[in-house]
Amino acid sequence: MLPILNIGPLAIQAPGLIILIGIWLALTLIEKNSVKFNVDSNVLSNLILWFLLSIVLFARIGYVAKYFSVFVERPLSILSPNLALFDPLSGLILGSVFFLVLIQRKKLHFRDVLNALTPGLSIFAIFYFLSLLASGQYYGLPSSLPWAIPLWGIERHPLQLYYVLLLIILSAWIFWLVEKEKKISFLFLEFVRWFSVILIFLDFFRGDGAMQIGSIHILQIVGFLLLLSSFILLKRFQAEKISPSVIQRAEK
Amino acid sequence: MPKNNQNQSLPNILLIVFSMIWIVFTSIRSSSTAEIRNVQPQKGFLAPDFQLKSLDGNTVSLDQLNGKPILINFWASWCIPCQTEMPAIQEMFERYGSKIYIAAINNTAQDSLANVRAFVNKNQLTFPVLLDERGLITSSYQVQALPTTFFVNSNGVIQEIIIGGPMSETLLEIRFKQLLGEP
Repeated sequence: MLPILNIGPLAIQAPGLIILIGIWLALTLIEKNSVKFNVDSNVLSNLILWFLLSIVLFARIGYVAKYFSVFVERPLSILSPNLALFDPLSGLILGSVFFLVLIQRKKLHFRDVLNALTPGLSIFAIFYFLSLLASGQYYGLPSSLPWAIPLWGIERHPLQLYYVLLLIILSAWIFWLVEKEKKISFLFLEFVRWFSVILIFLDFFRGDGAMQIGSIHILQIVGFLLLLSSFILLKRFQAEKISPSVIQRAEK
Repeated sequence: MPKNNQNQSLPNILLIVFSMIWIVFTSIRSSSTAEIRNVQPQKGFLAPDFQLKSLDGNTVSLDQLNGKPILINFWASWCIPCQTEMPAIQEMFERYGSKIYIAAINNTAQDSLANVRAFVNKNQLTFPVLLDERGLITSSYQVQALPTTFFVNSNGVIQEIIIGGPMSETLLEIRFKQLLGEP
């Protein structure tokens, strides 16, 4: 666990730094591989930039709406750079809707754009769980296994590392598929399917009790719904066999 | 359904069935593996106890404050973000002081008592300033950067940790409302 990186007089928040490195690496990989998905890298970069900005904007709007009476008293706080004044869930949901609208307005194919994003997404997921390891959040259940790590006063499952390990395997497979141009028109759904399986399997080892109603793990249910949806969509798309971009390429 | 299609679907169906079994199995296991929270400086755990002298000579311990939400702010007089957020903490103390206990723990081991007094007098701070003269409490809360603020609920459980600053009045008021369960 390394929440703060002290470099001279600077106290850098290590989890935030890891997230930024993850975003940078993901963007680089998306740009590098976009040609394989028949999506222009500049258009894709712009889309992602707008997506990230919209997440920040909607996260703040969502938070202000939630605590409107407090912000009315001090309207300038709406512009505060404080990260604790954001609602990430609102940002992610509304930002994703905005992203879909942008894709439609640019007359791009949803599937191609989502597939082009997948290599970057899989890398970002690794860095996200590394940032959770650095902050000590999302910790595992107590364990006496030889690989248990001491965290918060007790030996625990290194849950964040389990995620990192399985996501590295998933990313390696995704990059292998991209390299060999296999299943490329279902790449996003393949990622969702296997990420859901990881979520369903690993969330049981979560020790912080968050996202749990009684003994039911909410993330496992979310993972199961994602798995089911990806299965149905994969079946549908496999019946079509080829993606819209491939048809376009053939027509050209 | 063609045989080839059936063969392709079988692994997926098995995956879905195994996932369902795992969810049911783990939800049964979860109820028996519920962890009893110990004392740790982390969200969801009981806040570590302390007993410190305040600037006006009183002794304050976390034990005495049970039943009331607490804001524990670690600071030093030389720390610029700490200085910047003090007026906001003072304003919140004036508004919520009767409902929430504010403990501004000065890391006196890395500060000087004269500077602390001068800072408190200059800014007319009236909330309790506690002195961690040996730095033991700062260390037991694993404070790695100043300011660091812990929001503790009335059961003594840490609800949130904010590392760095300055915190604004808006942020403090929202967190206080959350601690008090106010809309």
